[in-house]
Amino acid sequence: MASTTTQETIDHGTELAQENQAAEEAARKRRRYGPLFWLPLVWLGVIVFCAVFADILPLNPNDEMDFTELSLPPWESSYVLGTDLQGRDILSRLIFGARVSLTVGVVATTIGMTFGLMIGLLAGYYRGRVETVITLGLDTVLALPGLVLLLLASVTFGGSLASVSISLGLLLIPAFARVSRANTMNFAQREFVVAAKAMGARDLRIILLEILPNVVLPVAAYALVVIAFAIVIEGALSFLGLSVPSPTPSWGGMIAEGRETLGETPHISFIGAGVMFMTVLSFNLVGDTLRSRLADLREAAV
Amino acid sequence: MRYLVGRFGHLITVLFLVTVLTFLLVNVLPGDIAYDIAGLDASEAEVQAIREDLGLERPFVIRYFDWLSGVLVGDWGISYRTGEPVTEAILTRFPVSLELMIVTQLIAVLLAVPLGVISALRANSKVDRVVTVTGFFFLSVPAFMMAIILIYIFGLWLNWLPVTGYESISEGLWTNVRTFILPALSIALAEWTLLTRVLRADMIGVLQEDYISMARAKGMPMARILWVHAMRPSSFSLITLLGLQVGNLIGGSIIIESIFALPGVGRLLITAIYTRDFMVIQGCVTFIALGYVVINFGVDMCYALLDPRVRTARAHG
Repeated sequence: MASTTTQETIDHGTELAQENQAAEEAARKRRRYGPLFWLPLVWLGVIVFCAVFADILPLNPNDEMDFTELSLPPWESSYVLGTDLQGRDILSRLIFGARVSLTVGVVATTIGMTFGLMIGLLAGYYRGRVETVITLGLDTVLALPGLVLLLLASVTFGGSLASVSISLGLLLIPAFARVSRANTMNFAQREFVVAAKAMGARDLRIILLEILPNVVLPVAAYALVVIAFAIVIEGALSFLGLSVPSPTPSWGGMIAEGRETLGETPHISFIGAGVMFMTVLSFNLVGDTLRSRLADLREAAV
Repeated sequence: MRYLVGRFGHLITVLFLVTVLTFLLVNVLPGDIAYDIAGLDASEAEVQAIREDLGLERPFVIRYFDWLSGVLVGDWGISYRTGEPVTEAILTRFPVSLELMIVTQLIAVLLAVPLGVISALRANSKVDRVVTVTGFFFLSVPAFMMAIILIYIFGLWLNWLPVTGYESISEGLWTNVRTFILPALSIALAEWTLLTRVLRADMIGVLQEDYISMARAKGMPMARILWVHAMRPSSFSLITLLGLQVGNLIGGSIIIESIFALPGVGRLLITAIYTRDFMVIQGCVTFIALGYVVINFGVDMCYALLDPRVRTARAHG
């Protein structure tokens, strides 16, 4: 009796495991390039296109105030997406705002990734004292909530596109450094690195030619998700009025402006919020798909 | 024990570096604080007097250690703007921030635990997928955006909850808690997703353990298995994450406190930043870092309490 029960339990267990495996296989298939991958990609394409060619596109100027059409929603206005509190064209402000968000997102992520990779490679390769010092530095930055550090930086360096991008970039270094360090430690023990060492290759050569090519891909897989994060943080800063100064349009700033009259003219906040949400979501969706694709590929390779 | 001491030393060093970093950022500034305080039409002599009064003439290192020795005995300096002692300013506002944080985490856990358990129990089912996808969407809504949406829906449209302002607890518990619901929800609605994810992942693993099969085989009711046998071993990552998220929470609550006009430490910091009130900025940041570090230490301790294996492994390692 007891033995059959155990046997049944075991059978049930393996059944469960098999079911799980099949389901995971299915989930993996689903993850591949469905509409949840293409649609966000198209959206990002449109946003990037508009931001890059904002100057050439047939747009109304983003800072011109039309006093005959103040805070009009899209359906009552001659402007495509309506006007804000000061009668400025919302569509035009959205597109020029996309410039700010995307620039900060991409520049900050690039800075964070470049320096994070370098630091992570050094810490993961040399270990010992180098690693201790680097970890201490990283922990110091991580001991403060990111936003607090950025607020501090905005006090010191003022709010401009360059200063926000750079300070946010510096802030992103620890996260990238941690991922690169973990990956480097993995590869530093592998046969091809040992072989290179045995052949008398110098450390720099090993790091750059043997380890870096292997580490760069899994680290870069995070980049898109980090861009989404950076856009959110920039949005929060400009919402507080501590990012790019006022006449320059930014998504966070637009959401903040509409807040005063949320009850009467909700479209001002919500159009900005909607565009920002779609963009952040798109970066997350595309990034996540690419990351799990990469993980699957590696699994298959092993 | 040695592990504890080592960890403690590390934390103290980190805290020290944080204060140095803050002091650097706040004090190596373009422009002169004394001019800011004196106002636009102050004479050069007045500015000089303020400068001497605040000890701004002395070199950076001396000022830093002067400040640090004050901090260690509980004197965090005085606000340049209001003359209020910084410790007092922080301590009167801290309860508000603490309450916001507790209500937020409570809502997040109340959402995350049932959803995580259901997702784990019915892994890869429709329910599981709906939870995952919904979570993904919520994760892409920043707290300040969520605040705007919630204000619009519950504050202006349905008119259920107050939009801004704070009622002290002496006005009655419900009056007080009411003012925290929307702010807390704004943060919690993004928080629960990650909590659900880690709980789901851990619980799927635990549910495949032999002793769960054993309990099932004995005919124990599923609810009891879930809550009594599976919950504790599944909650390690959850607790770690709850601790780690306190950092995000502090960051998020700074904005949320300003939006909802809650008089907490975050709002104090923002106001100080707008008015360039450096002692208050320095104090708030130190206070936040201190809290953050202490909480991380606490999470480590919780770990050891919950799982004796960690305790011994770490003690030996």
